[in-house]
Amino acid sequence: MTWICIALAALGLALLLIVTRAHGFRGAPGWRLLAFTAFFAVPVLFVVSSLQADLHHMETVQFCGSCHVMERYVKSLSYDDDEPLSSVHVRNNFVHQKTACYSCHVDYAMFGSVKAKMNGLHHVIANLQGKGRGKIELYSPYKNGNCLHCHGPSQRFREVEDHNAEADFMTRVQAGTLSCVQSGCHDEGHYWDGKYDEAGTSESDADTTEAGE
Amino acid sequence: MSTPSKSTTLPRGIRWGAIAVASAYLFLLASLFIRDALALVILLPLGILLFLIGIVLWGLAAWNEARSKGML
Repeated sequence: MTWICIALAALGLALLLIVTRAHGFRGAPGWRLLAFTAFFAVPVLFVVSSLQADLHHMETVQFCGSCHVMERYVKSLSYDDDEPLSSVHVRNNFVHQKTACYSCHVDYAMFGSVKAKMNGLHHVIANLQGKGRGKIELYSPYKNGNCLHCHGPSQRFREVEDHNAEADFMTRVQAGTLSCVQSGCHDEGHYWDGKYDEAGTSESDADTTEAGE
Repeated sequence: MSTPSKSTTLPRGIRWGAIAVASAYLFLLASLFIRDALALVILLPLGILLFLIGIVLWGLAAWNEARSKGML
């Protein structure tokens, strides 16, 4: 995609040069089409393709980790294969390793991506204002829908004993009155208090089947 | 069939439109290579804004030119 953008930019700049340098021929046949191509068609194509490339990059862990305050969270992705929850998902390849943050933190809804980009912009502004230097909190409680998007249809998830202990379990989970993470059923998403600094030394007894697939 | 114009003076709108669009190319190309979050947040909206400004300036210049020739 980057090479397509570079080629389009080169073409666009060359056309602009022709249109501005050879302006004396503006009454010639085909001139209007050339001007339209130089000022509209190629720029629009270029904007769309470069936006696509940039938005694709924004989904990567590398991008999220480019802000200093996120380094600890990115580090906690590779803590251990049975805790915390983010690490379970990444180390066991339950989510794409390159887009792990995006996979879990973007709502699976019509405007989920748009909301994520707006939140991202808010993060940058907050960071520039010096906020968010300590522990970062989510804007709203973590949505069960993001977990259920992958786990919901999974037979392994449905067969877990605790998930069948109460008749209205799934109703409460789907309604959000019982949180997968905040109700204390599953391990926390990321470690903040420096636990991950001891990466590789943990001897947790946490059951990985609870985290599901 | 129209004949080529003898005037070589570039209308201001087209000149500034071309400068805006050319700058936008550079900003957006830079955003493809500087993949830092802060840089992207600045370069991307600025690039798109410059493109819009360039297109509007060119459109207005073309509109004025057509109107002065009695084509509109």
